[in-house]
Amino acid sequence: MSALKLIETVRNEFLAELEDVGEDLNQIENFRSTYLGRKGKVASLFSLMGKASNEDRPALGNSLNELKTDLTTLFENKVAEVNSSKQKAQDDSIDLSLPSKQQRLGSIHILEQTLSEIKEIYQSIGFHVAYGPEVDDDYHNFTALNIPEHHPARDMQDTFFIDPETVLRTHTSNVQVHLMEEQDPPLRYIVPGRVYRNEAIGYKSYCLFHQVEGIYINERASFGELKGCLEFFVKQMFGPKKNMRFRPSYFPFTEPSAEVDIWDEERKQWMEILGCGMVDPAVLENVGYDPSRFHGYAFGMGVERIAMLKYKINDIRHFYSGDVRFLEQFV
Amino acid sequence: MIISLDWLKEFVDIDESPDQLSDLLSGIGLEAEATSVPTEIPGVIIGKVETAEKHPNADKLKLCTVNDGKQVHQVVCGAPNVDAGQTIAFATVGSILPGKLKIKKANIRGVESSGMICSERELNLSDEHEGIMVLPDNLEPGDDFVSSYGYKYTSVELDITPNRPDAFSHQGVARDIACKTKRYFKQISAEPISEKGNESINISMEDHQDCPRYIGGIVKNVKVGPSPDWLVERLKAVGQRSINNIVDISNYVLMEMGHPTHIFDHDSLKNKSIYIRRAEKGETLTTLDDQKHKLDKRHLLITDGSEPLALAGVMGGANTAVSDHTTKVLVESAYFDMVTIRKSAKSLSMSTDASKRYERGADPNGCETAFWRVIGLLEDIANGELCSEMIDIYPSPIKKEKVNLKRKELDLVLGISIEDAAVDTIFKGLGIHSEKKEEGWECEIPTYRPDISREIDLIEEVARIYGFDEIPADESLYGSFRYTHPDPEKYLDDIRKTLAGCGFHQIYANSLQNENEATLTGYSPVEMMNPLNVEMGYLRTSLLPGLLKAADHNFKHSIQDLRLFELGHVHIQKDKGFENIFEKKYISGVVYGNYRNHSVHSPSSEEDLFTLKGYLNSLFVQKLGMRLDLIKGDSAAFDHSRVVEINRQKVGVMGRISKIWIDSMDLDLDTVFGFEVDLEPLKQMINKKRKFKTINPYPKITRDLNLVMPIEQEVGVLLELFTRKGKKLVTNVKPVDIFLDEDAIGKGMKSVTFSISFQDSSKTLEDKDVNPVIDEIIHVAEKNFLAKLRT
Repeated sequence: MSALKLIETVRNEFLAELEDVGEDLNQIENFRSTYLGRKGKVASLFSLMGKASNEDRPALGNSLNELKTDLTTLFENKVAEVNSSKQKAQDDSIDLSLPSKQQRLGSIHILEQTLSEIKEIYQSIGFHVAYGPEVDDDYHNFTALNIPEHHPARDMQDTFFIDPETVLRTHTSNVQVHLMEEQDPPLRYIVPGRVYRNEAIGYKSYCLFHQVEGIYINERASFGELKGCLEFFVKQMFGPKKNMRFRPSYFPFTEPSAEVDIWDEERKQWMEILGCGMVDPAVLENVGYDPSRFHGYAFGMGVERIAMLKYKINDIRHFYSGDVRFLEQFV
Repeated sequence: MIISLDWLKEFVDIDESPDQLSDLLSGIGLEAEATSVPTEIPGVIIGKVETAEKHPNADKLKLCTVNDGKQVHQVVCGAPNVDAGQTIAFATVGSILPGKLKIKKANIRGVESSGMICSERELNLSDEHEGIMVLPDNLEPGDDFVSSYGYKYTSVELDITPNRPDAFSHQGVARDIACKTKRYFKQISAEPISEKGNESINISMEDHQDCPRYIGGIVKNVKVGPSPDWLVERLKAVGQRSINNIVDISNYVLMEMGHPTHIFDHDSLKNKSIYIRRAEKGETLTTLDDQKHKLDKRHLLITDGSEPLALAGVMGGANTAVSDHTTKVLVESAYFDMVTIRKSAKSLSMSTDASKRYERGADPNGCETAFWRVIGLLEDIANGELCSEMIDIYPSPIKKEKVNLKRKELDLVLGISIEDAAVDTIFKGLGIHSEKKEEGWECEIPTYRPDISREIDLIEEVARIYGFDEIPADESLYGSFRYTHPDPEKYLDDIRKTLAGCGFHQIYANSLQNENEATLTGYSPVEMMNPLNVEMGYLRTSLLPGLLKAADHNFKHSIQDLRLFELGHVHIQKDKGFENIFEKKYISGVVYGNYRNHSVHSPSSEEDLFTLKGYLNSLFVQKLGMRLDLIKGDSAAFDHSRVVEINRQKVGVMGRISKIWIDSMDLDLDTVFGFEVDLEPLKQMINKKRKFKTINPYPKITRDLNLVMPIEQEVGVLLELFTRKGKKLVTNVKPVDIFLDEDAIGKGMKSVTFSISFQDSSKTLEDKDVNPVIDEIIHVAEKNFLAKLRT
């Protein structure tokens, strides 16, 4: 048999046997030493080199080296394959149906989340955010806003008094007055904050709630712009297809005044979500702005109301209960 | 107020259903909702009771026969007032009453009953259910009930805003509807009636500010009795009970045109004169509702010169009320000052149909129409005869105001240009006389619209009637930007997010607390003059009581482990007066139960002072990059209390919530840990700018060191010292083990193993670099802390 034939035979035997080598480590080691060991079949083939003629020797050497490289590679692949299938078997023995190691997530209150959303929407159209005191004097909460002392409009907001001239603010409009006293127009702000109403507590009303009021004052400002601004808000907050309407209403600090309703498809009725209007000239005058030169619009909304409408929360008291069964629904 | 559709039709055509009309009214600023009065009740027809006998087997039931025009039905009826000959609303078998009640043939106590004779409540017309509804006799049996009679009760309910006194009547609402829909408006006109007699009464007033106008007139020969059906029906349709024809007339005119009038029993006046004045302190008056009021200068009275007769603009007096024996009456139709009436009614906590209208502003020039309307009805339905002139005291008549509207301003405010003709039509429809001028309009405002006195008021009227929906939304952004901080509270987001990431739930608790909760801190709380109840009399001085109550609420609902935080305001009344109220923003939290629960992976581990310290560390050190120290100190709120220092500034407290607090708030919870930090001083620290530091590429090496020291030695001090003495090579020192063993290390001593990390920014460290540092550390520890290297 020629040397080259012998090489081919060893190669074929190797390939045939490689198929049958199992995953047993001893078996694998035996197989390795049979072919690739120091006294293995490949090594013994190298003895043929001595018997080969001078002209055949280089080709034979090449063939032998080729055989050795090939078989070594094939064997290593086989070993890797065996190892990986063993690893897999081991992985499968881990019971990942057991519960995880505990990680507790807390939550940011849904009113805070709703407020953040409101802030982002208005900030995206140039509004700044300002804050102010919850306890204020009668002037900033009422009189400056065109609600004189003996006016039926005072009945619209049941008030907690600290003393006859000091109140828990009934809206965050008091901050608008402070802002206008401190700054010259133009200005464009929203004012979030906690406000208080002396009302019986029930599923619809609580003794306090959170408001976001907005104000824009400039040399030109129109009811059309107010509508544009609030439509932008409603569509951002409730989706671009939300139906809404502006309904004339009355607030002492705006004129014309409107209430905005959105359509509730489930209840088949209009739900009020905010009040707005053009800043009343009397308010501008009270803070020292010239009403013949400046115009403005203002709006106010309850954060609770918006969250209730958006998430179908049926009882305002949930917000203040601190009940984790409520809180963790809004992680 | 309730507005009857049938009544409205006296002034304007109405084709709309109550729902459609409500939408229309809401669209022009008169917020409306259809009432539950049905617009159709299929199967309910007019019937005549032919016979009504006692039920053979029941004392309280009657067995009736009802004729529906075609046939006669046998019906069992339980109403006490059912009688033969009555015309009634008959629910035939198969009809469906409001509330989805279906009428079926029934056997009642052994007798078959086919149908039902209805009460007003069963038809949703009113709450009346004492007996069946008896209808006028002129109705035709067999006709549909609603279309032949029930329609008189269809109505909408209005929520009138305080600026619209004119809309407090059927006439006023009709005027707005006519203006909006461009329909014909038929205004009330009451013709003067000539008197039959020459009686008179002297009328005068103390102050014309309080009572600018007072009209009086005397009517004799009145017959007090029940009102005619049409009047009873009208009042019933707007939710009012009929009293007698005289009282009903006054109420009718009020609902019809919105002007309050009052009718006195003339014979009960001791002095035949009227004097309007403020009450003297200590004077009393018993009003029609039998309430005796103590009066003072705030109250305006109608007197007969000495004795009070009525509380002007609010309610009449009991002594001069019309009774069954009344034959002669004095009719009052007056105009009182808004603020005077408001103060008077408010101080007595009274709100009547009359006061509601006066305090919003009645029409001074409506007095006369209302007067003649009342007189006309007294003659028509109460047999009365006017026997005096109309005595009208109106020293300085209130004139119609003139207000100008500039075209430029109208366009600017609305953002749309409404054509002249449309504006003209709106003014005309509202009764505003307008004249076109070069710059715009000159308008004469009717006195029934006291809310219109400025240009902006006219703009509102135009916009309201034109329709807000017709004004296009302008989606452009105008104006300039400011380069100040866009949200000064943005930094709070980091705090909320970090705590939520640490497993805390944010709560919003009530800021109003009872005295005990509000004073637990020892601070003086802000107290309310008019609290809702004793549980909410004060503003909180700490967020902890609210957090503890929330924690306890959850604990009672089997929540075993919880972390809560709140970010909110507290108020402290440092001294008397508004200027001494201080508002502060706090961040506070509480934790209870397990930090980690028992599981297949690990045993449980409880929340304690160290988990709490960990949360504070995550927030202030890791997230906000500040230095945190906990210093021993006393606080009412805590046992094991520590003062929280941030960047060496005292900002709050932490610890285990004290037993005193838990007991005084009566909590079920036992072990709770908490913290409270004032955010005001932190604000400046937070806004520091961040800067990138080069990443050190050289490896860290770690050495352990065992030191024995007295048990009472705080380890924290050593950690800091090691870092300081570390020649900038020590990057971290942490204690990894504390070992106590009297035999091995001595009594009163502890062995602490420190793991110290070293790193240099310019090279890889070797033993020769690190060893001198360790020697220095040991030296300092031995010298300053009586520590010894453990061998």
